[in-house]
This record gives sequence, C-alpha cells and structure tokens, in this order.
Amino acid sequence: MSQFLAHNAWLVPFFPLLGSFIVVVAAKWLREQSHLPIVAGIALSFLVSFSLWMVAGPDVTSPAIEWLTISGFNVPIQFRLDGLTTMMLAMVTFVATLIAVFASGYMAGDPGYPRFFALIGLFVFSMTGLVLSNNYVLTYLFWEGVGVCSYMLVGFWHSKPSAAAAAKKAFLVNRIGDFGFAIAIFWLWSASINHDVSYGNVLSRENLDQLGPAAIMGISFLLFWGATAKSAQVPLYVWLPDAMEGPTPVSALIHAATMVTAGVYLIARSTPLLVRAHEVQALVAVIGCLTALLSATIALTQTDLKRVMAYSTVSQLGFMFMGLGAGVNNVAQLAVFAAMFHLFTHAFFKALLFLASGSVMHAMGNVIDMRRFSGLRHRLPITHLTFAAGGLALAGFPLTAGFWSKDEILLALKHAAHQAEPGWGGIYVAVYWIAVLTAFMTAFYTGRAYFLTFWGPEKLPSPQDPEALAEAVDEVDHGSSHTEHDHGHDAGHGHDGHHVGQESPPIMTYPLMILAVCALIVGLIFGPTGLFEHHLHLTLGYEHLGHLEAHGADWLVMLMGSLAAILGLGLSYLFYAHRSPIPAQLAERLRPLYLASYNKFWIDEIYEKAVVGTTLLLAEISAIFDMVIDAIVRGIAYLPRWLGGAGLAPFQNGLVQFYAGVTAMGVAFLLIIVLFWL
Amino acid sequence: MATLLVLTVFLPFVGSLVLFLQPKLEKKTARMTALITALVTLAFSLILTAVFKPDVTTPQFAAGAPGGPYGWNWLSGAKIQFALGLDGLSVWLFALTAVLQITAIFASWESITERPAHHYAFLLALETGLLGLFASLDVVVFYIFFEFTLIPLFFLIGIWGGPERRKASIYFFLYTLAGSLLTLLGVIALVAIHYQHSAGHVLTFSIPELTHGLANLKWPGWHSATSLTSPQVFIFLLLFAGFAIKVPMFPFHTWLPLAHVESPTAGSIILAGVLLKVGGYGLLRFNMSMTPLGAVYLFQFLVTLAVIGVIYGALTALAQTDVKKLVAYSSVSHMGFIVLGLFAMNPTGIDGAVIQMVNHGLTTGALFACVGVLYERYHTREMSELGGLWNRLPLLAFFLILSSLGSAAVPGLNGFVGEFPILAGMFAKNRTAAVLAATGMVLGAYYLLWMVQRVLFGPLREPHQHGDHAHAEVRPVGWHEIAGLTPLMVLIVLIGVLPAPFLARINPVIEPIAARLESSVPTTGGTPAPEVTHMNPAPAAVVARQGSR
Repeated sequence: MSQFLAHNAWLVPFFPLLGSFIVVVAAKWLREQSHLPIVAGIALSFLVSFSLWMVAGPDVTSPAIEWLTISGFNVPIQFRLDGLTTMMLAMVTFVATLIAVFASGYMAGDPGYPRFFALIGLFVFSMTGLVLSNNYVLTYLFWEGVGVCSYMLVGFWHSKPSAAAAAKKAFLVNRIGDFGFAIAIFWLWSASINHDVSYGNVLSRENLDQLGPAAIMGISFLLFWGATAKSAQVPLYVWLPDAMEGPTPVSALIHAATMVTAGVYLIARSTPLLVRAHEVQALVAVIGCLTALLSATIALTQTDLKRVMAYSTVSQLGFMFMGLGAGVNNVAQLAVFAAMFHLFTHAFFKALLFLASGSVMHAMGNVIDMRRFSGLRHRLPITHLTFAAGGLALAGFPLTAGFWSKDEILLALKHAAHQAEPGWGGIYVAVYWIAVLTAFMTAFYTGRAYFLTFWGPEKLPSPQDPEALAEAVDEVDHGSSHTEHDHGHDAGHGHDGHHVGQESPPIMTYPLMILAVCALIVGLIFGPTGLFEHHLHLTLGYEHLGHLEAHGADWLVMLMGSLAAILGLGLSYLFYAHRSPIPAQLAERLRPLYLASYNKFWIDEIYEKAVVGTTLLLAEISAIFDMVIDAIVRGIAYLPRWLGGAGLAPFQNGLVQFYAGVTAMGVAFLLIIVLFWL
Repeated sequence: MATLLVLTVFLPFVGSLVLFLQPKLEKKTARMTALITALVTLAFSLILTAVFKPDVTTPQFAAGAPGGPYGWNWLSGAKIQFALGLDGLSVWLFALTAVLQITAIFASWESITERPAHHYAFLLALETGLLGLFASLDVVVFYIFFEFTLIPLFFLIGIWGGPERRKASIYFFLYTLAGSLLTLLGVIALVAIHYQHSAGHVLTFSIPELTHGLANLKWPGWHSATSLTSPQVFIFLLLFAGFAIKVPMFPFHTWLPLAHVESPTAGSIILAGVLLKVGGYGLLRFNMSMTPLGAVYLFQFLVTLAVIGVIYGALTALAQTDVKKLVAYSSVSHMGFIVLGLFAMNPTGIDGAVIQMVNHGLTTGALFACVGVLYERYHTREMSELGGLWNRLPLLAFFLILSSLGSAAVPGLNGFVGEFPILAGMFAKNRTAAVLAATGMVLGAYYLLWMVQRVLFGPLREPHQHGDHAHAEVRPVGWHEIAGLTPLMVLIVLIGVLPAPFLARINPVIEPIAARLESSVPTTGGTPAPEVTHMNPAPAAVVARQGSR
C-alpha cells in the first residue's frame, strides 16, 4: 500500500497542472466556470496528499525518472515522501483549496478570470513539486517555477504600472537570492560524493563528513542567502510588501501561506548540513530576529490593511528563522520542529487574515486604507469574527494556534542560549528577548488593525475622503489615465452587482469560517499532543539531530508569551477600540521614530538609489564605453590609410578586383611565413 | 541517407536559383515558393535527426565507409573531398537552421514588398550555406560554406535593411572577412603541419582525420605549449580570430548591434539564431578539438574575455532604449555564457554550451521575430513610445513573455538546461569565473523583464500616428506570425521539460574532446572532490606529452 501510494505521488502536482491545462484549452467555453477544474484539481491533490501523510517515512522515495542527463551532471525526477514533505503537501493543498474557492467569488467578473485560475493551478503544481523534489536541482527548478507564477500573478492587473513594477521587483529580488542558491548547488555538486545532489546523498553522514569545513560553512551560507530572498528576510525582504499589488487571494496563497515559506523549508530540509555550521546558525537567528523586529516596527504605523498583514508575514517568517537558527547542538531537533510548527500554524491564520482583509476590501469597493472605513463589525459580521479569530492566533493569544508555535520557538531560543558554543550564548539571549518584544508588538499591531477596521463609529469609504483625493492626484502625477482597456485594480471585479458595505457571498465566507476554526484549534490538536513532532520525526536525517533528554512545558516561557500577547492586545484596545487620542500624541512626541516607521525606514528609497542606481549607472557607462570600442575598431581599420597617406593613395583605386588580389597576396605572404617559420 | 543529406543541403539553393531566375515574381508566388522549399528542407532535416543514432561518435550520413573516407573525391589531386556528414556537435544546429528558416520566411511574409523574389532567394541561399557549413567534414568545404554565408547576408542587410543599411552591411562584411582570413591561415597551417609531421606524410583535408591525426602527431614540439609562439597556441589564436568575431566575443562584438538594428527581421533571426553559432561551433570543432593545448595555455585570457562579455553585454543591454538593440546586446551576453561553457573544458560545461547554442538560437530567434511583429505595426522600436501592448496584442504578450523567460534561463524552459550545466562546469574549473558569470543570470532577468514591463505592462501607449483615431488600424497578430513563432515556443518548452533526448545525442561526442582537454589541464582552485572521474588532479604546469598516446 505504501509502495503504491509512493509510486503515485506524482498525482499531487499532476492534478492542478491538469486543471490549468483544461482551463487554458477550454477557456472559451469555461469563462466564468474556469475555477472548477482548478478547485477540483487542488482538492484531489489534497486527498492524495492526505493519504501520503499516512505513508511518510524518512527514506520513502518514488522511482527516479531520467530528466537532465549531462555528462557528470545527472538530475532525475524523483520525489521524497518523508515527514517534512508530506506535512508541507497537506498544508499547501488544504489551504490552496480553500483559497481557490474563495477566489472564485472574489475574482468574479474579472476579464482575466480564466488566466487567474490557470496560473493558480500552475502555482500549486510548482509549489507541491518544490516540496516533493528529492534533489537540490529539482527543488531549484520548482523554486523558480513558483517565482514565475508569483511574477505573473503579482502583475496580474498588468495595466496598472504599480503592479507591473511590483512584479518585476519580486522576480528580480528573488533572482538575487537564486544566485546564491545556484552557487550553493554548484558547490554541492562539485564537492559531493559521485556528484549526486539528491538529498539522500548530500545529507548522508558520509557525505557531510567528507565535506571540508569551508564547504560546510560556504554552502550553508549560500543556501541561507537563497532563502532570504524567497522568504523575505533582511536584506532581501523588500519585494514582499510590494507584492500586495496582486489580487488578495494571491497574497493569501503565495505571499503568506505557501511560497514565502519555501526558504524556511529549504533550510529545514538542509538542517543536517546547517547544524554543522554553528556560525551560520547564529547568522540565521540574528537575521531572523532583525527582520522580525524591523518589520513589526513598520507594521505598527501602516494604514493599508494589506500592508500591515504583509509586514506581519515578513515578521513571522523572521520568527521561523529565529527558530531554525536556534538549532545548536542538542537543541537542533527542537529548533527545527518549532520553526516548522510555526510555519504550519502561520499558514492557516495568515491565509485567513489575508482572505478576511480581502473580504473587507471586496465589501468596501476595493478600498483597503484603514483611515477610510471603520466600525464594520455590524455590517460584516462573519468577516469580523473570522478576522478576530485569525488576529488572536497571530497575536499568540493563549491556546490559539499561534500561541503554541511561538512558544516552541521561544523555548528553543532559551535552550539555545544555554547550549550554544562558548561565547555564542549571548547572541541567543539577546535574540530571545527581542523575540518576546516582537511578540508584544505583533499583538499590538494586530489589535490595532482589528480595532481600526471593525470598531469605532461606522464609516464607509467615500470619494470625498482626503486620502482618496490624494490618491487621485497621485494617479494623475503618474500619468496612468484609465482608458477603456485599463481593467486595473479598481475595475478588477465588482461587476456582479455587489453593493458596497455588504457581507461577502457564502462562497467567500465558508472558506473564512473553516480557516477560522483551524486558526483556533490546529495548535492545540498538533502541538501539545505531540502529533506534529511525531510526524516530523519521519524526516530524512532528523533522527541524528541532537535532541534534549526531555523537554516538558516550560511555564516561564509560556507565561512570557501569554503576557506579551495579552498586554499587546490590551494596549491596542485602550488606544484604538474607542479612538483614544494617545496614539496621535505619541506619534507627535516621537515624531522621528513615527516617520521612520511610517516610511518603512526609507529602505526602498535607499535600495533604489544605491543598488538600482549603481547598476543603471554601470549600464550607461558600458553603453558609452561600447562607442569607444567601436571607435577604436574603426580607427584600426583606417590606420593603413593614415599611415600610407599620399604614397599609397594610388592603390586605393576603388577596383574590387584589385583589393581582392592584394588581399590574396597578403594571405599568401603570411602563409609562407607560417609554413617556413614553423 | 547520404544522398538525403546532400539533398537537404542543396535543396534551398535550388529554390534560390529558381527565384533568382524569376526576379519579376510576385510577392505571393515568391514567398510560397520559398516556404515550400523551406518546409521540404525542414522535413528532410527532421528525418535525418530522427534516424540519427545517438551513441555513434563518428560522422553519420556520410558517403563512404564509416571511419572514412567520408566523401566523394572532389579535387582528387589535392585530396580535397566533398564530404558531408553529421555528428552530435552539428546535428541539432543543422536542425535549428531548418526550423529558424521557417520563422524567417514567415517574418518576411508581409513586410517584404520590394523585390520579394530576390529577398527569398538570398534567404534560401543563406540556408544552404549554413546547412552545408554544419555538415562539412572537409576543411576546404567548410571554409567555402563559411565564407559563402557572408554574401547573402551582406545583400539582405544592404538591400532590405534600415536607413544605415549600407554602412552596416559593409562594416559587417569587412569585419568578419578580416577575421576569417586569419582563420583560413590557421586551417592551412594545420593541414601543412599534419602533412609534415604525420607518419607517412599524409595530406588530408578531412576534419575527422585531421582531428585524430593532430592528436597523435609524432612531433614533440606540437605537444607542448610554453609561450605564445608555441605552435598550438599560435594556431589557436589564428583560428580564434575568425570565430571570436563571429561569436562575437568581447571586444570584437561592435559589428553586431549595428548589423542587427539595420537588418530586416528575417536577417536578424538567422544572424542571431544561427550565424553566431558558427563561431561557437568553429571554436569547438577546430580550436578545442585540434589545438587543445592552445586553449589550455590561454585559459585565463579566454575566460576573462568570456566573463567580461557576459557582464558587459548584459549591462549594455540594460542601457538600451531600442528593443532590437537590447536583444542584440543580450546575444553578446548569452554567447559569452556559451564560450564560458566551452572553456570549462569538462564534459558538463561543453555539453551545456552545445545545447545552449541551440537554445539561444530558439529564444533569440523568437525575440527578434516578436520585435519584428512590433516594428511592422508601429514603425518604431523605441520602448519609450510603446507601452501596455498586452491589451492590444495579447498573443504577442504570450510569445514575448515566454521567450523572455526562456532566455532568462527559467527552469522548465530551455535556457536553464544549458546555462545551469555551463555554470556548474565552470564552477568545477574556476570558481571565481563561475560566480562572476552567474551575476549575468540576475542582470539577464533584469533587462528582459524590464523590457517586457515597458512594452507590455502599464496603460496602453502607442506612437502618435496610431494614437487617437486609429484603434482599428493595428492588426492583431496574424496567422503567419503565429505559424512562425509557435514551433519555437513548442521547442522552448520541450527542451526545457524533456532535455534528455536532445542531450543524449550530444554527450557521446563531447566526452573524447573533453577527455583530451582535461588530460592536459592543470586544475585551478577548489578542492577536488572524491571519486571525481573527470577532474584530473594533474601537475600544476602544462604537461608536454611525447609522441602518440
């Protein structure tokens, strides 16, 4: 049975791909039903994934099929069905099914409806392929595959200049990460036994033992480099907030629940390698910590609901990397479990929060600026309750999903502080406390977003809002006049006679409700029961990771986490539930800090100047230099004429035969030299 | 099959002659004649590809017994044979030529209205030149085809080109001619050396015999490379002159942008798609196979040029505002990758380079065809005058995005299958070069996606004469444009998804070439891996080998 299932693992990516294929071929006839093949395909692949969960084992693989065979470089198509993969598969396909259902309501009426669903199918194909792959090159293939889908989906409303720019930015920043990942693969390939880059070989003890310390360090570092782009960590996180230009279900699926966790997955996959490079581990923890803190700080002041969620995603990914980075010595196993558990729970509650934001946006006629609406809890009761459930989980409120996983990460960090190599413990102590602080900030900005949107006096967006007017001026400045072809964001949907200020249709609210239940209980079901941990044990190389003798619940850590959550939420209630004047006063008093946060520390602008500016300057210099080369070449061509001057002028008689004859003589002359001289 | 090969090579020439003899032919008749000729040629070449035996390393479809002599005596006194045949190096480039010819004809379908018969005649003549060049098994025959290709292209650019067509065609002609004369000198020197020093003074012009004979020459001086005047190094440089200009390698590339911008679309497609590959093919067939010590001796210099080409070409492409110039400079960058793969001197890199030549032909051919579609409608290639064309020409958006992604080496499409092994091979050989060249991967995505963004995304923007009144004037993408681009799209995806059958025909012939290169290669940098079969931890200096192996 398990053999049979393992042999048919290809069905998981196949079904969504088939769905996409059907949509592409039959788009003309399907039109408004284009979501059907995709929803069915993803749901079927969820069923297969679920059964694969049952057969998972560290060494279960599907048969290898020849793919890229070049002398000395052999990459077969092969799938690995261990604990890590099957967990990811089940999570990805489950969340994707719900999001696809939601999207069929959200995207209704969009002229690009079939294209949207074809791309979603293609994305699920790539994402499931990514986690199924049994070697680094195949992972890299799907890794770029999800990047391409993300590019096409962020730029889905292609007439919108900001969407086009965001799509390109996302792809390019990811390419910078892929650069590191690719070099890591070249290194692995040239240094591993038999030039075999399959996980089974690379992560085997014999192979890791024979890699030199430089290779271990270098490869670990480069893999992490790759992960920072895909999983939006400092310094390559800048693409993710901009990627919110895509339709909201895309943000939920790709930029919250699945694709952005690929980097975390890659590092978790390579844990047996990374635990041998404790310096890189410390770097992972520090970068994760820095990212979490920075983006949480930015999230405090943003007024765009989706942006708050985007920065929160960046921040939560930072938490996962803090967890991964804590994997020193005996903490290794606990650390990777904690990080992956947070990835797992985060997928549910963050997808929920994005979809709920999308539902708000849908009801507000595509307005997402929190200054333009408030007090929506009566008008959007289901959206309100589900958002609240997601918010509690994100804030880490006791017993919700986020609470359990964040707790594990804090626990791992605490252990790491004791177990780290001599001299490195201090780093983990600092990371631990910053993590607690960030958890508090997380609870605060989550509460702020919730109270600003759903509490306070009821207010719907009107075109007379100062923010709306400012936006309109902006658009004129950018010269983006709306022609009849411009089916941008605003005209994107809403042709279905949906009225502003009404709750979304059931096709959108049911997925919200299912996810809300998950956000509340998955932590409780999988965490304290040990279900998750037990399953992840079935992962390649994890059994040899260092583990603690026994780790029960650490009440102190749990208390810290709960306090951070409750204090953060409580403070946001005081500030925002009844529109206290304190936040404005605080912003006034701490004006530089407020401005820095509101303007995202000007990091985009700095990058624009420093990186993009430099590159384009180099490009201009190259283009000018090219004229110089051209001039030199022409100069050499004219050299004979200048040298010869009047003396040779008679020979320039314009007779082609004469030139040819002279050329032939020249060649003959050179030939004689060559033959005699040799 | 030998007859079929000869037929395939000369069929376009027959078509060309027919068109030359009927210069007054109408556009419709002329293009149909050309299309049918090209389609039959394509069918023949596909038959040849289908029956090509993957595991055979000697040339196939040659007249005469396997192992030679390969052809018909032509100038029997001089031992020059008219010998044609295909091996793993040439078979895909041969097929590529036949495929791109179809795209080129369809790209000219509506745009060529002036002297159409001559236009198609030159195009078909060019095809014969290229097919013959790849199939040649004799240096003299090779060289004749090699020079012959210049003539039709000279006229294609000079007659049907842009405003500066005369300047461009002369520049192109003289530049490449100058290089190829030095190559001729190198080839003659090879024949002469082989005659002087081989056992029994064998005079041969046959490429396989020369390759084999030169490797086993009984002349100690031949097998050492200590200075620029060592015979292998010197001849390497002579041969290199012509091929490096053809590739084109930095800094010999300046003829390329001018030639492309002035060339009609069909000329650009063939020029970038096939003609540049002649450079890479020549480097591998002559330089790397016959004077490997030259390659080893000049390794640093060659790799430096290739890496500069990759980065410099990409940066210059980034600065362009003219779409066609951008694609032209992208060729400089991508051809740099190919040369880099060749100089990795291990089978992984060289294999990647050979398949990448085919890939680059497909993606660049497709990109130039897309630019042609644009230019026919708007008579501009300035990206500042265009924008948001996705709404106007959705099919063009599909073609342009797919070929750009293929060109940017996105996995699952063809570019990846070549570029990744090239970089991996180079990494094993020299890490610094591989890491530097890999930045070209990032820059490549940058200029391509930026081009896509400027042309396709955003609100619709069209040049003024098409602006206000004339939405209906812009023709949608026509059937002939679809017919020209679709085969390329299919191949871009097919090679990306199923590379194995393509590579299986290349691998066997590469192994011996790489083995010879590696047996004389000092390893540089990097710790050799355990159980490495093809990285020889040889002494740090070039080994002077005595006598035959």
